[in-house]
Amino acid sequence: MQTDATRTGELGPAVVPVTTPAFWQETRALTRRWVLQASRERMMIVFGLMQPLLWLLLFGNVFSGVARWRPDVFGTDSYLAFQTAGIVALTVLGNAMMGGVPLLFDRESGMLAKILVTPSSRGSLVASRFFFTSAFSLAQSLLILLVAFLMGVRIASGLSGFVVILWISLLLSVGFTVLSLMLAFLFPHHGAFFAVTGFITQPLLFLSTALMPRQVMPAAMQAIVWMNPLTYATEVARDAMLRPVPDGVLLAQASAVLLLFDAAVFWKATGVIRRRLE
Amino acid sequence: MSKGDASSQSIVRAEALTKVYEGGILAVDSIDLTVEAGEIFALLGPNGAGKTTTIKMLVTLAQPTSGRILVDGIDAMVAPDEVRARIGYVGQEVAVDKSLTARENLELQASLYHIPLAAQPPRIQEVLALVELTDRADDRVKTYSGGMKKRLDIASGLVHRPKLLVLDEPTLGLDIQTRTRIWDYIARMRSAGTTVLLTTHYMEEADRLCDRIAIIDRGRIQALGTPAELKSRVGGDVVTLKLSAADAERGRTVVGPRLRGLPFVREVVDGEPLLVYVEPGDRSAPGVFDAVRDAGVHVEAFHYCRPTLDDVFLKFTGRSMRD
Ligand SMILES: Nc1ncnc2c1ncn2[C@@H]1O[C@H](COP(=O)(O)OP(=O)(O)OP(=O)(O)O)[C@@H](O)[C@H]1O
Ligand SMILES: [Mg+2]
Repeated sequence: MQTDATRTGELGPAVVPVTTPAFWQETRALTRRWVLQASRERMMIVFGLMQPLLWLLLFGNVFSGVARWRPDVFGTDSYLAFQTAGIVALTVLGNAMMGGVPLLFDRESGMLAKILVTPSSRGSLVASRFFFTSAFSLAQSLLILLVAFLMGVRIASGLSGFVVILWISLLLSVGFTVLSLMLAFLFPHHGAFFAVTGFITQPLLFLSTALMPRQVMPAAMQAIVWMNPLTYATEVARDAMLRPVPDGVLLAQASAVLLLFDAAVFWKATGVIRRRLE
Repeated sequence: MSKGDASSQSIVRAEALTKVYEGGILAVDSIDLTVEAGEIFALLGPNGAGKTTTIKMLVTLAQPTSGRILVDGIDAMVAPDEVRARIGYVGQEVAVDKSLTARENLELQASLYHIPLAAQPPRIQEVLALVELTDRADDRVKTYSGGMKKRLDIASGLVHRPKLLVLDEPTLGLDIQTRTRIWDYIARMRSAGTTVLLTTHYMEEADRLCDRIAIIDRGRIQALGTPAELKSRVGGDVVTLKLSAADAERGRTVVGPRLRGLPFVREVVDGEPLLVYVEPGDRSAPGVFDAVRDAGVHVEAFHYCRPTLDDVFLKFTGRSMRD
């Protein structure tokens, strides 16, 4: 089948003008691609969203007694209320850690090379992954809070606490998404990538306060949890969940620590990604 | 050097281009070549010759170890984005997003090349029509056949109307029908003014459709010219003789020297089979046959033909590309 447009001459060379908001055009197009991909992987969406709910329901029931036992340590007599913040934080962390995965597959399929030979900026690739991952995390966090709400858990500090939870989640998401992208570029095969991200994620989870209050941990472990970005995000979110007036000093300190972490990862990753992409 | 004006118009210009991979593999060894505007230029060579590596340096996916490569006079290392905007690249492996439709794939590509959103639909229609995928444009690529995926991949290298289309093995592993179609698209791109640089190891294709060919082997250009020029460099038509195994030794010691003494024999390449270059071809071939028989050697098979690019390859590299 032929149309007029295919006739000789119509496909001649033309100079493509580079528009000023080029970066946003690229970022939008790439983000759209991730959204389309995900929307066609229904199972991924369904199970991705359900995973944290499973945590919530499972742990909420198994450990329901512990908070009643030491409400002074947990800050509440409901383990579910205690744990909601932790689940939000580790869900954000989990999503961010997987942020680089599509780039692994793109590299193996040649799609990455195809993107890299375009005059698009490498930053738009990173930005698009961050936007998509954060949006997915946001949707999951809202769902967690909603289900917790239906189970009787209220954000003690109300709307301001809600905003604080989103803010701290975002700060956590930036650093680990960029870290994941960096690892995706660093490791030639996806096997190594998954081994390393798994290796990092497990201790982050258990050496944090996401599942247990630090007061019940041995002294050495208590010192370690404060070196973990996940602890800062969890503590701020939990504070907002459990206390009518969130602790401003904690929020400021945790934000500073996470911003510093994000900046450090970003600085390191820029070097790695640039070297791999040129 | 003397033709400074002409060379400054070259679309591609490689100067002592060299690539040494980690581990010391010399993949491309000091290549010099130019591709002129409007031509179809082929890099022809066997597996591992360095074709893809050369292409990768051209499209800014790899950095030369030394030397340089210029596109439209722009050094790919110095201003990669300007080089990228001028090139449409279709890699050796098909690279399309299977969960998207063809149209969505092309929209992504168009935006990465900064084509304004409003200008995209007609461009996309145009390339879809060229590769005959208009009817299937809104189906997921997952549901496409291999040939259709390859055609989409080619279309996505064309949305931004590149000056130079670079195709790495565009027809490798495809059925005859798809190969013919792809060659048709390439010919149409050329007549629309696009320069085409491709790699292949199908000699018949290169012979029929390319303006100029560089034969590349072990990272070096072994010969470069139009198909006709290259074949004329073989120096005569080719007579191929298969001698019986028992006579192999006699073939080397007796038949070789005897053939070299004949006035119409240009060259004899000892080996299995034995190659004899003769001129003029049609009238000399029977003479070769007679000479071998007179030497008392049994001829099992006899083949006479005008030179092909395989003969060119054999002549310049000492090996056959078909092995
Ligand atoms: N990334 C790499 N790292 C190390 N060596 C490489 C790499 N890519 C290619 N090579 C080596 O460089 C040489 C040239 O490879 P190249 O891919 O350029 O060949 P080619 O002509 O495209 O071959 P083919 O026809 O099989 O595609 C080979 O010896 C190959 O093993
Ligand atoms: Mg190759």
